[in-house]
Amino acid sequence: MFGAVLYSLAFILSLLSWRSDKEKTKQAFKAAGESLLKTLPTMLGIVGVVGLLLAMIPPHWISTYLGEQAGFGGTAVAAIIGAVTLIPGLVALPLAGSIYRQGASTLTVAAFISTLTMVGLVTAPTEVEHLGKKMTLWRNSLGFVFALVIAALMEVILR
Amino acid sequence: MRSSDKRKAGALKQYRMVIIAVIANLVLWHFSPDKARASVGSTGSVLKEMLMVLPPMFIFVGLIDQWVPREVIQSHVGQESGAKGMIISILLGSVTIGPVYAAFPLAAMLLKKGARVSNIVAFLTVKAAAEVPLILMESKFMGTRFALTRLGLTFLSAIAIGWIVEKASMNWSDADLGLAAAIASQAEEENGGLSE
Repeated sequence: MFGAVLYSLAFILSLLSWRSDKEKTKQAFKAAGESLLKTLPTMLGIVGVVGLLLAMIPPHWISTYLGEQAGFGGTAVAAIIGAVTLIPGLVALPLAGSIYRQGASTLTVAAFISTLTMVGLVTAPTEVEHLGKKMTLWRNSLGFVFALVIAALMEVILR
Repeated sequence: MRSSDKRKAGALKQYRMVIIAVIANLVLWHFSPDKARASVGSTGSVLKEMLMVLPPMFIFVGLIDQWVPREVIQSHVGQESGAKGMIISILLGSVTIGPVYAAFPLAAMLLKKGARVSNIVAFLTVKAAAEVPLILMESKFMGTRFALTRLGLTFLSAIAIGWIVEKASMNWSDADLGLAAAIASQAEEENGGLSE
């Protein structure tokens, strides 16, 4: 559904662009095609690694381990799992909700959600391709630090 | 002969992650066929998601690059855009849907067109951590109070991260910023060539 909307929108905009300026549209498509081809190998690799991670770290494993393990160990594990993996929100949030209800602390759950979204070890290779090594390194390291700060503040605010 | 060898070596390097993933899946298959099946299944669904989002996203980036003049980007999210630029970037980040990797080429193109580093970094952070669909789902599973608290703190963090990365980037070269590799750079060069 989402994909259909995106493709239709891309089609309509391309059509409008083509009618106003064929040369510009050709350039736009050439750039789009080239960057797609350039990024494809890394993207396919990421897809493979994500599949492996999702299979090796099954959701119920995360929920049993983090739900029962109160305290700092659980938080650290949550933060690391969040930073390393790329779990789609559709899977991650129900999981986070169930860990929360099983008694994991706000600190642990917030650390999991924040590192999951703010740090992307798996997507780093694509980020490097587009934004360079330094930017990727800085953005993700700071993302990790701030994710932990957010989690700590949430533990205090929502107590 | 030589150049084709080089190309082969290049392809091998480019696809090294794919090769590692395939080998890892085969090893996994040997020890636990069930897990390997689950892995291939997840790979398939993530691949589907990627194919739904990436090609149109690249077309948008290409079209924006061709049609939106540099001045427009600069005045809205450029060096002098100030608080307005930051607010636009954060709002743009929360309404841009789709996986974060789809936003990297957009970010690179905006940087190349004169957007400010702090704004683009904040955009990416908000896009990844506080986009509207995510917050809506989070309210459902974690409660509204949890979701909104995290949203507020994420906005503040995005501004701080943007500011720090920008400070750090002051002495980076264009290549460090990935600008040399910016996907649309060739298109612009060719476009510049045409207008002369």
